[in-house]
Amino acid sequence: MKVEVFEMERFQSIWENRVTHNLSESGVHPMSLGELLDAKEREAIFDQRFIYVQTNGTPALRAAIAALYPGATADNIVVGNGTAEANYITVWRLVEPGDEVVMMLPNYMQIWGVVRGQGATVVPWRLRAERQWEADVDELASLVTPRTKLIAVCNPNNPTGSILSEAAMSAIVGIAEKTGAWILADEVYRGAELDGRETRSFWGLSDRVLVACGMSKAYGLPGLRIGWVAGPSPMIAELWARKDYLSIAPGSLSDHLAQVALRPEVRPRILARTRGLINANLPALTEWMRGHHSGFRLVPPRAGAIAYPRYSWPVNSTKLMERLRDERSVLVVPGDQFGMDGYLRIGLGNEPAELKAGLARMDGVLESLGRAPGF
Amino acid sequence: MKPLAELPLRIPRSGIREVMDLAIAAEKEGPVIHLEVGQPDFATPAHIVEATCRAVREGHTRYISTAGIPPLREAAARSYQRRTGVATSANQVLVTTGAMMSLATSFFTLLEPGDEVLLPDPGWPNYFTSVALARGVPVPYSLRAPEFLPDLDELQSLVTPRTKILLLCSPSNPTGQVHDAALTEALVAFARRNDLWVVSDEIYSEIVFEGSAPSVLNFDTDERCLVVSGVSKTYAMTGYRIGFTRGRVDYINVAAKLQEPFVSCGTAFSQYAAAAALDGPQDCVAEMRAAYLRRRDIALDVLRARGLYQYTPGGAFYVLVDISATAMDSRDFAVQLLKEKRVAVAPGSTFGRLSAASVRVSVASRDEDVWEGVGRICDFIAERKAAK
Repeated sequence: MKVEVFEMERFQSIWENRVTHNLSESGVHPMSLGELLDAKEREAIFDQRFIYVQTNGTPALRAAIAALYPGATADNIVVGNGTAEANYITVWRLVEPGDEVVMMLPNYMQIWGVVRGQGATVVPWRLRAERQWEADVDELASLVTPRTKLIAVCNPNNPTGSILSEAAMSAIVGIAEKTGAWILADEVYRGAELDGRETRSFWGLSDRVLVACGMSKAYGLPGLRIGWVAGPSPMIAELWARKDYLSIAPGSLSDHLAQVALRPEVRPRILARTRGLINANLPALTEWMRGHHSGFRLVPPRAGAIAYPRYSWPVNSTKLMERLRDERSVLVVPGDQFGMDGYLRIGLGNEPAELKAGLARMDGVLESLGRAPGF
Repeated sequence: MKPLAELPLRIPRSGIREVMDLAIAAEKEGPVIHLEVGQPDFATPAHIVEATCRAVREGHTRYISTAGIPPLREAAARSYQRRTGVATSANQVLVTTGAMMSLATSFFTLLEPGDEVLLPDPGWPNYFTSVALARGVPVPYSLRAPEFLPDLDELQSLVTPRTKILLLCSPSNPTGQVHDAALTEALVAFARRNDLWVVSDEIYSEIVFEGSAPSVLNFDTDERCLVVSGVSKTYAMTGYRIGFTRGRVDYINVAAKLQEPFVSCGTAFSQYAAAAALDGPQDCVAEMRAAYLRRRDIALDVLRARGLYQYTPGGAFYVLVDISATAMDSRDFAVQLLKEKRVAVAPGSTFGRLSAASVRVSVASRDEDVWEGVGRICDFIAERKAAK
């Protein structure tokens, strides 16, 4: 398997802790242990032993996750180290060399890289700004063939923050069922909707749906490295078999803390914190963009701690990112890393003061580019 | 005011022409390397130009027979016969306004609304629009990398009671791949088994680098094949607009009638020039073929050196270059490449679903332009890789 370097992860891992202002993240500012646990739980945490837990996640954690999906039981869940492992074991199981995977783009490029590494072909299904990032299901129908093993969607979408309509979701399921393709729905931003209305899950729409999700984005707990796949139990058992060859078990502390976060009385509090941060930050970003007149155009995100504006200065997005990073110590993700020059992904998950400070530091570079020519 | 008709509004514009227009506009700011259009960079050979002038001077500037002037129909019949060994008479040849018109008349002559046409994906975009305008239904069949050859099992799975035409293009635009004799025979047999007409676009048949391109005519036992050809590519005569269809006499007569409401008739002096091309010395064809081969190899050498080699086209003057590592939409890629590297290429998406992550490079340009242009494409892919 020939693997290409995952450019965005490599770039973020090198730079995100070196810059003064990291606006490259797509999740909200991480919670601290103290924020997550109340006094009683803080005491109890010291009794936790560093054991191997069951390799597919403890029954208690899987039951807590299953409660998010109507009709699911712990057997419908396999827990992995982050949504990344959830995505990986799914693609590893389903995709063979020569297969085609129709993938929603722009997107987090992990599946893209793994599919290519496995000798299969990625067939891009593009969301387009001129359609307000609304999915074109007619186009999807023209892309899916009997060779399509998997349709990979990210809903809510990274980096656009768009959400599929329920009609589009039904159409996607219908198209997949026609040829027997599986659907892998990465729903890691579910729960981070600005209007607080939780996005409909693909779970339950078909018996060939696998839902990947985790604690890193909407919950602000990326350091737990807890993710999962929800799906039909025979397929979940097969994914578990693969997981034993990878990371074996989730960290025991992480498994425990994820259970805490998913408790019915805790989860709403965490998601309210997430919504609060994003809703405070989007107006700040919008106002800052307005200050640059014709510099930016943004289809407002509906979910996720991310905005994906297009800019009008005639400069390559990687070069612009490098200048912002090197001259102003601000890190954003260039559109190039999604195959779309002319865009920047700006994180909306920081504390509002931090976001404003980061944006203000970008001004110097943008002003040096001259007046924005507009679109 | 009542609106424009819906169908012409809905059909997409060719992505090749779009980039060509952008490239022409970009030339105001400085030179652009043109690798986007399938147009030989050679001048039309002198003896053909002379024949054109002579025809004009002799007064061949008036209406002519819709089916074409007899000397050209005869010359084209001889040309088909020379190439394939299959006896051909002038009344089996229709002269059209470019090979495009041969294709269009075949769709208008054969299709009832809703009839399906099996079209190559990737394939020339005009096939799709022309079938749609004739109220037919384009049904793409796959030409998969790196061989880019049709799969007979897949073709069979696409046949329905409405399927009426199998369209073939060998050597292929945009891949440059050539069907060998066995495949050609199998494709004609497939058409016969399923009672399909074969429209075979053989416009690049003289531009083959090893051996020759077999024609469907060699395997046509019951006159179901229409062979489309022309002088544009072989003799660097793209502006003359001369194409041919070789087919059954009853088909030719109806198709000739169909040309009337579109073009009335062809251009007399162009047709005399085309006759001179077909009957005159053929050294120019060999010279151009040798140049295309050299340029193809230049392009492949650059791609190999940069780790982007995928396959060796057997004919025509095109190479598909894989840009999937950039994750870019091929139209965006072509537009940005033009802007940043000043190289014009045709976006793969305009040829179909299976070439959406490629761009088509035409090597019908000067050697140094092919070398420099393909090098810049490789630079751009390296700079824009989504993963490295």
